[in-house]
Amino acid sequence: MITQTWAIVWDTFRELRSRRLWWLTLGLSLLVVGVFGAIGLGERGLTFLWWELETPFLNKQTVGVRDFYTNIFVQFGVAWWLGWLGLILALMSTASIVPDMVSAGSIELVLSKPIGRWRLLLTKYAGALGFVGVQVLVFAAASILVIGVRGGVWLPGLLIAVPLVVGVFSMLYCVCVLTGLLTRSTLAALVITALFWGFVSLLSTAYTGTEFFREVNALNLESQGRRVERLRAQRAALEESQAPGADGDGPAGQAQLPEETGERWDLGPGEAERLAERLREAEAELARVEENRRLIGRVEWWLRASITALPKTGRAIEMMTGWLESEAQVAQREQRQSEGQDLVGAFDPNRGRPQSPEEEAEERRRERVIEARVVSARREQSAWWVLGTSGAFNAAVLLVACWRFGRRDF
Amino acid sequence: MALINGAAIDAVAGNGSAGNGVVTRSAVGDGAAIDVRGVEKRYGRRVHALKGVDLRVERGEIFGLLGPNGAGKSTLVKVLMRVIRATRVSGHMLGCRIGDAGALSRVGYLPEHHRFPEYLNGRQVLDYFGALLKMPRRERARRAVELLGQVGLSRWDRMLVRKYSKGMRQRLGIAQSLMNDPELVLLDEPTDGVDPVGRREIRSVLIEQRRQGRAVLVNSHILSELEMVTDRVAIMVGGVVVTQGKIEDLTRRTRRYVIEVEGRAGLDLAAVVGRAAPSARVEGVRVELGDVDPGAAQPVIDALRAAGVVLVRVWAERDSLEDLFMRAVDGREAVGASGGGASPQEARA
Ligand SMILES: Nc1ncnc2c1ncn2[C@@H]1O[C@H](COP(=O)(O)OP(=O)(O)OP(=O)(O)O)[C@@H](O)[C@H]1O
Ligand SMILES: [Mg+2]
Repeated sequence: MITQTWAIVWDTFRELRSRRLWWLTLGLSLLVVGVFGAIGLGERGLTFLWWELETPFLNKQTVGVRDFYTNIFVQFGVAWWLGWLGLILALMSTASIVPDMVSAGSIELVLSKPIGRWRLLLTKYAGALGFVGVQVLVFAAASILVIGVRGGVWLPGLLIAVPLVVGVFSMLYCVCVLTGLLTRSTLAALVITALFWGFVSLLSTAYTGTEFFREVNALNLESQGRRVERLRAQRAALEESQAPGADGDGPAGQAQLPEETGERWDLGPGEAERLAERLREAEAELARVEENRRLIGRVEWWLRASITALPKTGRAIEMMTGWLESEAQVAQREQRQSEGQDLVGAFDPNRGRPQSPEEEAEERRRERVIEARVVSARREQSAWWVLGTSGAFNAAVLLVACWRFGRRDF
Repeated sequence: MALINGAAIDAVAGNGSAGNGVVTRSAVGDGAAIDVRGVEKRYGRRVHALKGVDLRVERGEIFGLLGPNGAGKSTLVKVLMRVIRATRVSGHMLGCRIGDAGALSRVGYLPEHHRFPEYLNGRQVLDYFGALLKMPRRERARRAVELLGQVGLSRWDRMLVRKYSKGMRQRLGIAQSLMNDPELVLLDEPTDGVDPVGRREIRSVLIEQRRQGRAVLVNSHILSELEMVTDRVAIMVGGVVVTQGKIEDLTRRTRRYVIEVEGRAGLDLAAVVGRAAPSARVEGVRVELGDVDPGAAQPVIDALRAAGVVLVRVWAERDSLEDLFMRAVDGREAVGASGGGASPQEARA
């Protein structure tokens, strides 16, 4: 039992070790760590090796060393290297494990041994995850060491990146295993996994997009609703003022109108028609916005359903950076918010139009409201939701793979 | 009932020979290394690779499985090794039901066109597969050295398999199949790509297995080689076993005396022979007597001598395995007895 498991795991490792890519990945990892070591924070600014760059906004006075290094680790080490390039390299080096195992001539040798097929596949899978974990561990440990020696701060909390990165990797790797098993081709497995990853990211982006659309539309709905009400009130006032028996003079009639409307008008000939026209327009607009709301709701429902079913690599990486940051209390919120504002701006139909200061202030207020709503909606999807549903996806894909592997003839 | 339960067979056999449980056990559990009936395999809907194969391989014998390409030999072996799932199968291998993992640690298997992990060297390959067979580490190391010596790879044991030649890979494959000191070895074309010296070495390894009372099933196209070592053969054609038995039994009907004479102008050989043995066949300078009794040949010899014919050679002959194979394949005719009931007085010279 242990002999067999160990043999399979060790064999997986030997296979990976025999790859140039494995060593390349390790080398790049250490290079990134080296860059961490090279960058430092001096009294007056950033230091790179022995040069010091004067940066008034970034030096020991303005930022804590701990925050600085955590930030670098998160921004470059996790978000960029582990969560992106390293993940791709890891996939590339492990993609061939299953196709190699099931290739004609190899699979017979293994299947004819007294070991269950499910166990065989799952051990291989776990072995691959394990060795990707080793890579990440080496990276994280080396980072901690370098940061500790160079910056004088010890951040063992960075090790949390190991299980999290392995988790993200496993979400993609299970797809790779399944496709590798079905196609028996490393290339096909890689391409399909890459497409899948792209698709999942696209869905996630689209979902974020619809979230913003939804909130923009909701605000629109509110303001259109108010506008319609206002116009109705105006019409009622007008009708009243023009009703027989009322005071005939205009200014008095205007004085009866609601003050806060902000809409100027003159009671002139044909004013009633213009008002009616504007009311019709506003009602049509309201109906359109309402229709949009329903459409967005439907799209959002479908997107949320598919995202729930699929792994959430992007969210998991975001979450990971969030955790790491919160550990060192890095003030990242502003930056996030500015990013968020850009996103809102992109959906704003009035963008680029000359605006009065009041309008701009109103615009800012709107954006802040949207931002706050989206962020709170995101919070609802807790870490457990992200990890749980992704894990369920993992399990389901693995189950299908095992089932296929168990029944297949070779 | 299509699928006969293994336990049921045991029970039936136990009741059948009442009072002699030991013999019964050995008859069903230990007696035959492989005893399967009605093995059927369909790949998808179209390919019917095995159409009800019956096969019995005893312990202590080398069994040859022959057949043209695509006959289903490899499929049969894979079914036994659980590499593919049979559509239908009943019977035993080493006392375990087919498909049970239990027997597998006591069986050795060399798949055809096997590929070892390229990043391992010969010794590591043996160690890896030994570990999958649940062998303890010490024993794996000892056995690997021993087997590499036996198949003549000691010099290359630290070389990566990637750099092995075809024959070296094949030798390593044989070593791998013997790693667990198996009670039964299934070899799918073991001599494929091996040089003549290697083939002889492999043959002697097989004979050594037999000497130790182990069973060997060889699947090969090199008939002359099989003929040298196998005790019994089965010929498969199109997914069925058309012939099974000892080579001697299968070719007994074809035994004959052949007399070769010196050609001479004006000699009517047929006339001379016809008087003494009307059933004899004459072909050029050859006279074939369809009888194996040496006594029956004497009158013909006398007649030939009396006619002044010079005899060059006289010998007894029978069909080779190749002839048998060709006939089986051509007409799919059932040659001789099947089922392996070899008569004991037929010892091979
Ligand atoms: N995986 C498979 N899927 C579909 N058909 C298969 C598969 N493997 C074998 N076959 C078919 O089953 C039949 C028997 O194949 P098998 O490999 O058992 O023949 P064989 O007797 O070993 O031939 P050879 O002497 O060439 O090795 C062939 O018709 C082959 O096409
Ligand atoms: Mg074959």
